[in-house]
Amino acid sequence: MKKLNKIFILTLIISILFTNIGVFADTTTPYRQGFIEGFLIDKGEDEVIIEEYDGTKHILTFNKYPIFSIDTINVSLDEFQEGMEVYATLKNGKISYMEGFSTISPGYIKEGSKIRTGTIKKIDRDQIIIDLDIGGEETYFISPSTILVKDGEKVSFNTLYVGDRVKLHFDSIDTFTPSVIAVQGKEIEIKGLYKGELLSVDEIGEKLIFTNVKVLNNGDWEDLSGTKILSFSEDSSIYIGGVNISLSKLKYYIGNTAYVVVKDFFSDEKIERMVLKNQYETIYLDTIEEMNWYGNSMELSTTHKNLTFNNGTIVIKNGRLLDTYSLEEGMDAFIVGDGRNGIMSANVVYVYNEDINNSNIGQNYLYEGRIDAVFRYSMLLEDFAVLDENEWKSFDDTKELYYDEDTMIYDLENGKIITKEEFYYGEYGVDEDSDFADDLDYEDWYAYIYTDGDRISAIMLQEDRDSLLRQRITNGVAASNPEEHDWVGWRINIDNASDWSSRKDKWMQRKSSFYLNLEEALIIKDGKIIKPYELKATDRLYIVRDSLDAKVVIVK
Amino acid sequence: MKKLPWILGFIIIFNQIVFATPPEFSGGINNEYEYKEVVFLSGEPIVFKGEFKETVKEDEEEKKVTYRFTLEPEDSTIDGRLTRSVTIVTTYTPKTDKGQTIADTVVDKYTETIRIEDDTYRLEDIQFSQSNIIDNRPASDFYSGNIKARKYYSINNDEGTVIIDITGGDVGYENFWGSTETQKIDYIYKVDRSEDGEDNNLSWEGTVQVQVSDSTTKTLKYSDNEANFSSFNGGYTRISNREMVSTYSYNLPTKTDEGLDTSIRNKDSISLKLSMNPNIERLIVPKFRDTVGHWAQSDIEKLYSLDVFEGSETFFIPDTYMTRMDFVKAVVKACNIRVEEEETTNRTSRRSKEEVEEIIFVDVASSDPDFQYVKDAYNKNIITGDADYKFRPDGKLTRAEAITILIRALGFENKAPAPGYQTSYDDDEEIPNWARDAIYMATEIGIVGGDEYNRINANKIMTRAEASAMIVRFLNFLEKDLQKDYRENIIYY
Repeated sequence: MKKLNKIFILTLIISILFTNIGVFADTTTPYRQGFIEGFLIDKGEDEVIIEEYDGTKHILTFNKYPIFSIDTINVSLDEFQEGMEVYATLKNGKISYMEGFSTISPGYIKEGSKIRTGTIKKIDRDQIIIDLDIGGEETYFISPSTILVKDGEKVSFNTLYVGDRVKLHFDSIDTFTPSVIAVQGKEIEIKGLYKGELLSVDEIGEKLIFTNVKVLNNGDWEDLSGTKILSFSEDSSIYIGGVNISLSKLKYYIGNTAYVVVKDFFSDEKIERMVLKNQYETIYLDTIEEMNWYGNSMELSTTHKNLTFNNGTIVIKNGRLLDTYSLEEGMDAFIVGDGRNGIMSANVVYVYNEDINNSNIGQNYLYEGRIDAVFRYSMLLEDFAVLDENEWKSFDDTKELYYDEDTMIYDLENGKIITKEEFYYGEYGVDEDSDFADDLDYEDWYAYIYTDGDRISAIMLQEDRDSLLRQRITNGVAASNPEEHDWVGWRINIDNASDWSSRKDKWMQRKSSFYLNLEEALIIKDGKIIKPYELKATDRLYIVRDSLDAKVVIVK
Repeated sequence: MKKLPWILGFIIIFNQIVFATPPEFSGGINNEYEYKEVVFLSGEPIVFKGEFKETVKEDEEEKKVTYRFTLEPEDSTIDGRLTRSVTIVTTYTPKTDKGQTIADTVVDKYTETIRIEDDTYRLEDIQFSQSNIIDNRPASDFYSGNIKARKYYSINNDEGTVIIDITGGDVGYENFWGSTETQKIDYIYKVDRSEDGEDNNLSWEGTVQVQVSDSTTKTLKYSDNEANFSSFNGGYTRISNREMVSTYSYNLPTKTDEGLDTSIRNKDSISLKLSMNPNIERLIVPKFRDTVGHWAQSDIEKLYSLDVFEGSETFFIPDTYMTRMDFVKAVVKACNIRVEEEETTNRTSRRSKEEVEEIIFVDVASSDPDFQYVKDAYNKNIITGDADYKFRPDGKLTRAEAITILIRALGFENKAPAPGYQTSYDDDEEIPNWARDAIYMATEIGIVGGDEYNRINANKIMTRAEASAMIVRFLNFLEKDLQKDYRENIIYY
């Protein structure tokens, strides 16, 4: 009993002693289990005080080579702050590793700071496949909140083309849905397709000199200049027979004919791709009947000719250089074949096809019809036609379309943009059977309407109906800026034009340029009506025209 | 020949290390021979070109640049003349502890007179402020800043005024392999020529956005030896290029016979480009016997030509492992990171050789011939060593170590996501914690990628050939990828 008392008294003394000096109800748990976790209370040069979650405090020193880390990142002890939660492993009662915890949002990045750049390989509604600059290809998804920006302005996704270069911004590291897509502007378009003989190679100055240079224009090689100097860079690629060759080997091909795609690089002409003619040239103006992806070949519809294609084949569509993956059946093209004895490979496939919508993302339509009635924010179109695959399809029916404050309404007869109120209260759509209309000799007006789905983006109103049968659908490129002619008013010269043939169901290449009158046209760019003088040289245009008078011009 | 004296000043500068900066802040560009810019004061764009002289005085604390321009319209049917004299002073305030420098720029002197046909525009006053932050990283400096200015002109002394509000910014980088500065500046023009409050169709407002970029790059090109009976087959040439590009996008009134029609806008853009004559330097010729036909032959030979590798000139042994020391030395040399400090330290070490032995790592003595590389790399935070203060110089280099060294040299590891994330690699759990940020960032910038099974193989030992290929890819990043990111990816979007 005496012995027990002694033990009790000793325990009491020790307990009181530790309590009095303010230190630590001793538990040996951390030392037994080899780790401690809690809060960092204090830190010195060679020791720290850690308070366990249960309130027990420990003064701890470090072993010879302690490792410190905060949120898995190795740091020095200086980086630790008093009050932060820590976990430490102990060896022989000393800290060998101490980790602190600070990050609230693991994996967080600044909004939009994850960036991918690349070239659009395919567009399929809300999915775009991108050839990434850092290698490989990836499928990304467009959500309703994704913003598309071009030349600093928000634009519709229908402006995207296969072949466009894009910069995608992501808000988190593991998402495949970009928050912002910036698309390259006019710079993406090729400036020209040349054919010439290689005259000289300046490897150090990165210049190639050509002679007897021709340019592809209006479906033929037109003489351009005696010599031409073109810039070259590491991004330029040279092929012969589908094989990529280096610039240093190019000196062996002096005198060879080359097909050269150039882009504008700050007013300089820079080679994007060059294909050297391997054997003999044959030209086809034809439609691709069938693609054989196993044999990398295509069959042409009229000539039934089979041509192979390869990595070097220059494919141009919508003013963009594409890879052969984009070739499709039904494409109407100017094709440069290279070969002999009937065995041909395609060096150039210049595709003429154009449509109102650039991809299946787009829901833009062009309507023509009689205005049956105008309501506030909607209207009824009667006996209307809709442009479908470059042909007017007529409907003996009524179609309701919707307008809003952003809709642009152009009164052709008065030559001015009118307000929504003027449209609503105006006599554009009347009850022709009413006494009111009869007395005042009012009749329904007619309209060309450019829509995004059933939402009217732009509308042009006119008193009389045009004969749609007389109209032709044409696509081409503005050869120069528009000019105001004394007699016909605003007009523009169109190059590289193709007319849609309903009978042949294909684009027919025109062999010459022509002037298109713009005075009575609905001209649309980025969903908005623009004035004729706002068109620019090199604009690619989709045109509905009656003879030389444009009715609708859509800037692509 | 008339222009030769004007050009000389520039050539002297160009033969030294040249860092790209577009002249002044008018969007103009130049080469050795001429200068071009677009002038909008008359309400329509007119390209002026002519003589240009640039004088630079720079020390660690201050840079003073003086520009003198004497220009005339490129279109000889327009009668005009521009004379401008500008002195810009930039004061550097280093924040050494943070590895950053603040550069504040002011206009010290600015005189300008522009005559277009019968109108003379004289600069009466200018307010200008520019400030940049420069992040000094081992392999490259990165900087970004803002510009705000206002210019006041009189027209024919008392016939009107022009106020140009200028707002913009610049971004750039500078390293041994390239430098680019791109300025994006908006100009708002307000021209008042009304008489007694009456409109005379000569007053107008308009905007111009300028994107101008000056860029230098150094590339390696292989040239065959034309002669067969020679002691070597061919070798590399280092070619230094410098080009300036500029795009002016404007929204102006339309010029008519009656004056300026402000309701019809003249919206378009003008692009300009001028290049310097390339500067070429032949490099030493590699003569390795065992790299011929190897997949990394050109990478190894490029680095050898840059004097990056020491040791045997006959055998490179490409498929043996790369040591940590050899890799650090190669990176430091290839990026030209240490030149100045080495010289300084050599002088110091000769003087104080007997005094104090410096210790960075316990396994690299200060007498080690490679000590200086390790010291520089350590001081610049490219390497940290192990917790036991060892560098393990002869240790086998892993991919994680190599990637970490390269990303630290760029100073990009801080841009990784907040800790606690996983990379997209299938073997993410194999990535050491200390390498995760570097591997993430190296993937983001395209220096590394996964194998066919989407593995990064962080702990795989690198061969000398693989390490060489990685360094060459890194140099391409410094030379080309940065240029594209700072120029095309800004101007084109």
